Amino acid sequence: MDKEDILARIKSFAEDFAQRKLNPYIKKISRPNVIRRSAKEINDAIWGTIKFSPLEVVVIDSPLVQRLRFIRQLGVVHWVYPGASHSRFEHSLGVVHQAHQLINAINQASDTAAAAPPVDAEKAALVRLCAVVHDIGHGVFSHVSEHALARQLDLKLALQRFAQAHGVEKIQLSELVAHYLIGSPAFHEMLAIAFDSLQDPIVQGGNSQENAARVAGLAQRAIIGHHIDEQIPLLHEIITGPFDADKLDYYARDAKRAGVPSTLDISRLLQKIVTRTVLSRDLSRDGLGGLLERLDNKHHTRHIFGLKWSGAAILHELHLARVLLFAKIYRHKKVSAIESMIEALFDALGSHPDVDVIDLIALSYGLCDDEFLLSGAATLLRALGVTEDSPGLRAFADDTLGRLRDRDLYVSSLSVAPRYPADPWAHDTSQQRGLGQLASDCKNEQKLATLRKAIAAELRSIQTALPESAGGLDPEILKYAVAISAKPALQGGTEIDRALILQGGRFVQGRELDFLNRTAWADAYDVGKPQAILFTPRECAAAAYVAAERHVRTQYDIVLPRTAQEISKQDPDEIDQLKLTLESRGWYSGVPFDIRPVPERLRRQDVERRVEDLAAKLTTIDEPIGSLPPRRPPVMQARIKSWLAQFREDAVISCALAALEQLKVLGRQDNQAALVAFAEAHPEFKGATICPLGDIKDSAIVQAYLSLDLERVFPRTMSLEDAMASGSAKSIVLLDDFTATGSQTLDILGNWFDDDRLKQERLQEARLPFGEPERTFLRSRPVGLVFVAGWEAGLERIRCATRELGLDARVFAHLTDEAIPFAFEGALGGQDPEALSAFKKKCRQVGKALLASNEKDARKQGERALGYGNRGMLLASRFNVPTQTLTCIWMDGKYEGVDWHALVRRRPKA
Amino acid sequence: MPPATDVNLVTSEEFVTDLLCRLKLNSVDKLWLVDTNEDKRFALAFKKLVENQERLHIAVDFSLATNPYHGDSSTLRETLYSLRERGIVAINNPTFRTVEITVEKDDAQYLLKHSSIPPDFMAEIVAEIFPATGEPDGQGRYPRQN
Repeated sequence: MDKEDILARIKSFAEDFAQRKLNPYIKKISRPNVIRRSAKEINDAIWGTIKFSPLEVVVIDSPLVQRLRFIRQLGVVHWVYPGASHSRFEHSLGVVHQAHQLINAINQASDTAAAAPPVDAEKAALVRLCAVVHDIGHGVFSHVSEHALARQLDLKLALQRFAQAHGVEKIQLSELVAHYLIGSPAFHEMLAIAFDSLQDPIVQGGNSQENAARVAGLAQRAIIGHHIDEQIPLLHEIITGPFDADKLDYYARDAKRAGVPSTLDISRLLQKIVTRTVLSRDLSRDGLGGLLERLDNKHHTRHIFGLKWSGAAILHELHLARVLLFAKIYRHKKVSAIESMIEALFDALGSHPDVDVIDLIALSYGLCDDEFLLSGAATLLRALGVTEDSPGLRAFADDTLGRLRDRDLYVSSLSVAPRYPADPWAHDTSQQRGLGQLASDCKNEQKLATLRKAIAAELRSIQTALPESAGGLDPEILKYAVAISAKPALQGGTEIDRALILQGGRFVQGRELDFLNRTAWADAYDVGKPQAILFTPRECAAAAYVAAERHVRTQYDIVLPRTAQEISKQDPDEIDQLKLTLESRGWYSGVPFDIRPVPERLRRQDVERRVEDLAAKLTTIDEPIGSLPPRRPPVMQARIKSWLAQFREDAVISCALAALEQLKVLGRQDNQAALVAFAEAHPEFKGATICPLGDIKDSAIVQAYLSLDLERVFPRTMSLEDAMASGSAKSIVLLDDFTATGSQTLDILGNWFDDDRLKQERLQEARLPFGEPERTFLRSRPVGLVFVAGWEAGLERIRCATRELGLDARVFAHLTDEAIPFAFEGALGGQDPEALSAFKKKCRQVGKALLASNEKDARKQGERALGYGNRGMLLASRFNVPTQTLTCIWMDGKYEGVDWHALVRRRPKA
Repeated sequence: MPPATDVNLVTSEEFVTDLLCRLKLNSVDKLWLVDTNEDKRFALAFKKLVENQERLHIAVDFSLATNPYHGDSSTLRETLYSLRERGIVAINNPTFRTVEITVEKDDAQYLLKHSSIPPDFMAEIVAEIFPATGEPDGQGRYPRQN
């Protein structure tokens, strides 16, 4: 659709609508003596008797205003607050009453009241007439339909264009339609006929047609927030302003009819109004400089009204009254659910290829609330001119209308929050950014529509995998039945803060006052409120949660925490059971492990305690920090469970849990035990100097540092270079934590003694060669090579190497093959052999996949799938994890196309 | 104009977020809403956005135009208010006069990179409409533009 054309088409629609509504009425009032010349009094439930002028009665009795009797002021609120069934018509009469009260207060508080009240009879009549017609642009369900329609992007952009073209901040569809209805030829004609028959102060000479055009033009301006009087430049703010008649009526009426308390004290507010005559040139001084460029230069003074300084606190009451209304009534969760159903219905109708936004607008003005509710799909589609059948749309429309009539309302499926309580990912950058992006997208109609469709598609895929999950709903209905309500946070009340306050003889705006906690009213009621809520039919709410969870995980990188279920009022057991069933149907294939259901094995009673013990052990390992994805829970206990859950099968998880319990973490005691045992086996080394077997980049440095605790046995610890320089070392102990095949030690020795047979080029470790003095130093005294743990085969290789190098060496390890746990060489002997075999198979598959995703070739994948050497070792030190340890414990990567996270990451060699 | 479905819709939250992120990267940490100068500057930035929306292949569904009678923009102020939830700004003062730009610089980079509005364009707007006229004071505040 050509966007330029939409405003013209809405104008045309409004003029046509006005003509259809008013033509019979115009004929009627054109007849003699039909128009009453006396005032009319109407008893209002809130304000009592309200008196209306004959002109006002003509307009009130017109079908354009009478139709407001059949449109409820609060749209759908009466489903939640049964008493709040009042109409737009009642409200419009109430606004006239409040406008009248404001006019009286402005006049009485004027410094010119005695001579001439600023709001004379003509201006008063104009303002009151504006009040009568200010809401005639409302369609079915009041704001509910206009918000639903504004989700149509073309209309949203057209409204913005109108606002821009007319120099106003924003405009709603109801205001736009009211603006066009009042400007329509039929409305002009109605006014002209009334003017011909009545002596109303609003008529100022000229002919009736001209007066009608003038008055309607002024009312049009007031509706969109433009000034309507040069002498009282803010006169229009009685209709649309900081404390306008509209607010004074609906704040009180809506609260009263819903049975909710209000803090608004209207009589006090009226009492505090003040009016001053201000020199036009002083308007800038009073913070109203913007007015000057819009006013003519014929008036040297203007009447400005505001609140006395002593009444400034009334702004607080207005703020609080507004916040209470929004928090308790307009934003009530169930109210939002019903609104979202109607929005979903409008969205669905708008998706038919034969329907455009003007058709939808026509529909919303063609039916009143109850007609709409009592209708069916056939009526709505006929009203839209749809001839081509759409069974899915028809079924959805009938389903939705039926649910509304039966109060079988949609329920919350997922509450979207910018942050969730007790979120284990709360400090994770991906989580924070994902939640922020999701919240932002929910406010963008275009992205929101995409999100809605994507979740609906996920929901349908669940239904395909597990038909009973959608409660028997027709798949065609499901396509439309995902609704998202995304309302902005309770606003700060900028408009209220524009109220002028007389302070020290000049007006200042409310926003300039040093009011404390002005926004706190809203904040207090906004705490914990979601940014958006996903609503669906009750029978598929759990499935929709799971669908949304998968979507936000894959598209926004968000892992919904457990508390998201609580906030969304989901039953965790139901969600778990559904997820388990879906997994068994393959629905989670290719989906990250972290949102898959918790495997049954991890729900057993023993898990918490065992994981707690494991966490105490594993947190002693100082992992490298600063590494990036994949994501994994930052807290160790959660991380252990998450790592175990990656194995998916219960029997395999049991083995994995047992394997972690067998994992040996070398600590300070092991270091001491190794040195003590070495000294006992080789007493000649008592008093030896301890040197690290390696450089600063090797963990041997830390082992040497820890050996300082054994000063009584080994009094000196220093680098090999320092030991040689001191000349005091009779024997040397070269210390390291672990050796497997001995390759690293051979590499060190090969480099020290420049022996190519020993150098391990494949390790690609840069090491400096010794000079002849260092070599002589080592060859001239006993040397111990002590490891806290070591494989026998590797130790033997080192022994051979030292012999070949001519060293007088003792090679020793405190823990050797029999004491080192190996997953598949007895450490898991208590496990069921079949389960252990499955565990081994799984570890091999995962290991290969991880190596492959880390660009290791097929040979290395084969040799290292269970850890380098494929022995499935279960060993770590406090500072690193050897590569020989089971690969799936320490390596990140991809498995079956999704991220596999390491339990404990290793620190790679520099 | 291309059809609405063929352009990227930009909301006030996205645009204001982008502006604040750009300002943050320019080491501007605070804004003052004590008068309507900031409203006018944001309105000017918005005008630039609207002028370029066809070229940028975007559409805006809001206006930051200031109220003709009161000089402020309710959309701007309500948007700033709502951005607190996302940690983009903080309004630590009870009178809503000082808006502290709290978004971290790396997050600002991230948000600009993932925005519908090209980062270069935002940089141009900020350079043109929010130029720093001197050194920031001890609190990272730049001299006010008038």
